[in-house]
Amino acid sequence: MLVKTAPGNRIALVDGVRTPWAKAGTVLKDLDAVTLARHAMRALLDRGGVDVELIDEVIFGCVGQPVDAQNIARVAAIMTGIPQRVPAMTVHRNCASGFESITTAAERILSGRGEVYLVGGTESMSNYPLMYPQSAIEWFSEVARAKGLWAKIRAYLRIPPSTLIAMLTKPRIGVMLGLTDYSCATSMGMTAERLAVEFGISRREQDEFALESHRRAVASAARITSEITPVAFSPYKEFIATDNGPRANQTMEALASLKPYFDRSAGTVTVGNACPITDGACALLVTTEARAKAEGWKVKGYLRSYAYAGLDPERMGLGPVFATAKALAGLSLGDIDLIELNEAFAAQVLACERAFASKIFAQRELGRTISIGEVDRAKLNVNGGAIALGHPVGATGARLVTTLLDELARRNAKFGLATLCIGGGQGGALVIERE
Amino acid sequence: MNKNTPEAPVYWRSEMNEDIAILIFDCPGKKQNVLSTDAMVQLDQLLDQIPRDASGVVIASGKETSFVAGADISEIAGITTPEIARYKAHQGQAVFNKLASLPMPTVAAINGFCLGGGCELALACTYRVAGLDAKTLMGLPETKLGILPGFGGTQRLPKIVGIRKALELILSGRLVDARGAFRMRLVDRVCSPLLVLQEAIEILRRRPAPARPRFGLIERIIESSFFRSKLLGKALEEAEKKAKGFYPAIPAVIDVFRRTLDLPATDGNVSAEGLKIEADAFAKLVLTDVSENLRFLFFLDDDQKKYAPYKSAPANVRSAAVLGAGVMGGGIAWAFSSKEMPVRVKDIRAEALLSALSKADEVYRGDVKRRKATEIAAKRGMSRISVGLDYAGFRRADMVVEAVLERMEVKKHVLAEVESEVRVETVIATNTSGLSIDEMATVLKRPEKFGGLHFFNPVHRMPLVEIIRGKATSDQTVATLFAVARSLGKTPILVKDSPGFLVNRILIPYMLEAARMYEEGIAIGAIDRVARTFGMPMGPFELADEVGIDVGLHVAEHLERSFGSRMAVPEILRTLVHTGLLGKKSGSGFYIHAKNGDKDRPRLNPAVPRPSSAAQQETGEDGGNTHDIENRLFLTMLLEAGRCLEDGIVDRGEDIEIGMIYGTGFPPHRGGLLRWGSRIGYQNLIKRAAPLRERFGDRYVVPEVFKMLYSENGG
Repeated sequence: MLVKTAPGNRIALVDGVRTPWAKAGTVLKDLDAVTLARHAMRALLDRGGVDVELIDEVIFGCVGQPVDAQNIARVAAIMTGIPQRVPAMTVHRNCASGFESITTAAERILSGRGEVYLVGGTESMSNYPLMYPQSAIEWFSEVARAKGLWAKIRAYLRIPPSTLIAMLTKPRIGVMLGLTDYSCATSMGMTAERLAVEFGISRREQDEFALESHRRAVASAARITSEITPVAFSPYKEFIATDNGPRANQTMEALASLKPYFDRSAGTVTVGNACPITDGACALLVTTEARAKAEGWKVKGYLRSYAYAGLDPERMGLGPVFATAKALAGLSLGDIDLIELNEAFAAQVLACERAFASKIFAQRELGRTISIGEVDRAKLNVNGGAIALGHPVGATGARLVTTLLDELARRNAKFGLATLCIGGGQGGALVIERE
Repeated sequence: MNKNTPEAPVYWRSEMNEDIAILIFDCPGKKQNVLSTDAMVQLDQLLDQIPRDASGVVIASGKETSFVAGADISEIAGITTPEIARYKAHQGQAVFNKLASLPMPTVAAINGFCLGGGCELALACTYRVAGLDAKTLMGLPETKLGILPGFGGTQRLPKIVGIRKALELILSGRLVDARGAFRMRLVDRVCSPLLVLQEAIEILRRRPAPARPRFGLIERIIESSFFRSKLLGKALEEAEKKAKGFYPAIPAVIDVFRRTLDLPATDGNVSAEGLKIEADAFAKLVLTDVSENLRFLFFLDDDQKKYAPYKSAPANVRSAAVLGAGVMGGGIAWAFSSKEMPVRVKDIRAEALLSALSKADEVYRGDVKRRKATEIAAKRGMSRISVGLDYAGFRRADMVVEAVLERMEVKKHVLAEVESEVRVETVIATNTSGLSIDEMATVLKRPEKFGGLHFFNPVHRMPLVEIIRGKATSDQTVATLFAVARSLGKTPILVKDSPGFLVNRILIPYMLEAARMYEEGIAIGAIDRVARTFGMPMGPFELADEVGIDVGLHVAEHLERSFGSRMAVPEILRTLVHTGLLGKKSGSGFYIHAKNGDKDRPRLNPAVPRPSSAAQQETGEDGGNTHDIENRLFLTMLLEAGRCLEDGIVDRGEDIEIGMIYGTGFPPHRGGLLRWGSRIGYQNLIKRAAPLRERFGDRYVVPEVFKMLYSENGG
């Protein structure tokens, strides 16, 4: 769906900057999602020499919002030194939360509510909580209710043995719960397994795709430093400046040796051909073409069109196909110079490729007469994707757009497509144009 | 009201709220209420006029930000004999006793400053009610002026908050906010500042038992007379750790407590004998040189806050950038961030950026540990510092502080570069410790936006900033630099562009003289001891080790080139630098510095080459003549200060006093360097300098300026 703007006043994506992406539990584990967001926001503002007084609103995506930082966009804005009078809101569309921050800003601009929006996404999957089982919570509240020291001690001692055992052995794992669909009780991994079966995608094909993702990410590491701001934190012994997911020494043998993770008996999806859980944040500046010109900001790209689409939650991995069909808005897939399609799972990306190219799929599921088109691997995720880099769910959408903007400029290309699948059965797609 | 003196200004007005008398203190034409003699006399008369059937009395203030800021310190200058001092104290004590002896309950309604005599006034009331306002601060800071509370404060405070707290408050002079005051029950009640008067009236109507701290068993034992001498001894020891015996008020307070704590109350809840002892102690202290010096500094400090050697309004500085991430750069970045200003730091080396960050982080961690900052305040502070290898963020900066290597070529290069990276209105300042501002300005397109802003190391502890006006520096730039320095909580002085500026130019000759004495065979330890006994926070060799001997040498050589033989650098300094003995940072210099948390005083470093003349002596260590050492160290300082005045380095002698005290830790109890000299007097100065001049030549010539400065004191 086209973004309808006045001539010469398109929605401008000025610039995007992100922290390095780090596998959860590694180098960025000590930074919470607020601090990650703050680093990205500050780097973006410093780099562009943007006066914080000009910002109309902060809109940030985050999927697993920390309980101690509700409306994390506001908290991060304050910690970044954005003036207190500037409002801030957090948006949530699962893996597309980063997209949502951009498109919400665009809609705000189009409805005349403001002109300068600091947007993006942040996620610290290292800091997702473990939770006590419900029985333990009930016991804790009984202890809390008891009045007086003796009553408290007695309440403490009244813990049922089964609750005690459950507390120690069955914590509810935030990451696992978050990556499981409520409505169909299916984990994201199982939705990928399902697509592998439906589209006949072999284990070998998935592993080959994963290997290529690592190869491309390693090869592009030096090039994509333009989108990364180095991060340092107490005790300030080093800067974290590169993504730590890509493996230079990844091999087919190593990938083949991994056991299926989700469907342990008959599955093909492994931790090697799926994206790892990750920490990171990414920030972008969204404004209008005219305002950017007036402020002297160099614009990297414009939002031409975008769409979100819904589908069967158990096939959520096909989301990009449904969303792209709506988002192309007059363009053909062949017009697109670069595609960033998020690699939640290799199986899911490969399934999308087949669905994009399939006339039958287009007729049966998209209500089109012809297929969307063949995906050219030379245009797809040229700098590697989430299988190598990682997928901090709330931030990935912002990263896809940031990477796309920089790569379009490097190639002096015109159109770019950023698209991803969304847990819960949705897809999102943005078309970016340059010049 | 005061019919007998109709022309005197009216300080107090009274009104009745039903059966409650409200006395409102409102010094005419002033922002703060101050208890002058006239105000005390009027209060005394007013107390006599309170109707005997009134059910209570409220003491309130007509000012928004002060209850009573204290006694009138300027009146103390009129006290010339112990008799007058004792009389003044007795007079004040009598008025407050009259208040405390009223048949009806009384209450102080406190909003804003409640200090010194004002606090003693509140203590004389039955109750105290304080407003929860940032401006509400209570305390007895008299010891900071070298005296003690003389209007009954030493007698009433321990009865209200307990002995331990009372000692702590009086000895430290610490101020507490309303919440803190309520926690120790210094006040009976806290409430919204808008409700203070209402609450005060309320408390008079209900008449609860006055609030006293609830002591547990341990506190009760500590406060008991059995442990009295132990408690007093411990308090003295703690206080002297800071005061180091230079402040007679400290032992005097302990002595008053020791002699009066067990005296039974006679009148107005206190003992008449106790009040007499307090007044005697006050009389003794108020006439000491130390007290006079400290009061001199108090006014100096007050004036300095208003000192504005410029006419323009300063530019608004909302964000800053620092160029060069060394120790100074890191400290300056911390200073901006701690005052809620975003700051961007640039260096050409990533390791330097990390060290600047960790330097700032270290200061914040320390503050959190000492409870001077909260965890989240430290986190927010660090979040204001961003770093990079490029000029990103400099366009946002309203002000840039350059703190790169102390080399003219390097400074010129980066200054020219940074000027093209900032907005035209951005002020650029250099943190040079002595290089020429005017020469640096030659490479700039906008020299009017450029000046010197010299911080001292360590930035978070040193309160002084030298602001250097170059030939082209505009009036507005000077105004902006003053405003920035003040907003960072620093005390600025204005200095002319001349090698070493003010503080280093006076301090370096002192350190050189120390090194020369060592070369002559006097022991390092002896020289440092004399300096510390004089009151310096550390001796010249300890200081050299602290700042880095190479850093000191670099500055000294620059001064030698500019001023010639009187700043000749002794060989020993070069020898140490060449052998890598750089001071604390290299582990050893004149002393050996233990690394891992060893708290012992550093040991003398045997690797420091023995002076040849000393080798001829039996021990090789000469204790020297204490008087001679003191003379040479501090006359050298004083004479250079005189030359600075003659050269017009600063416009006012006050700047030298402020500069030396805040920039080098020159002992405040001496009232300043020039003031120390004035106590010697001109004739004595000549007499003392003459033999030194004979031995060492022209560096002991007494500048003419002292003749005029000190003539009236000439002895």
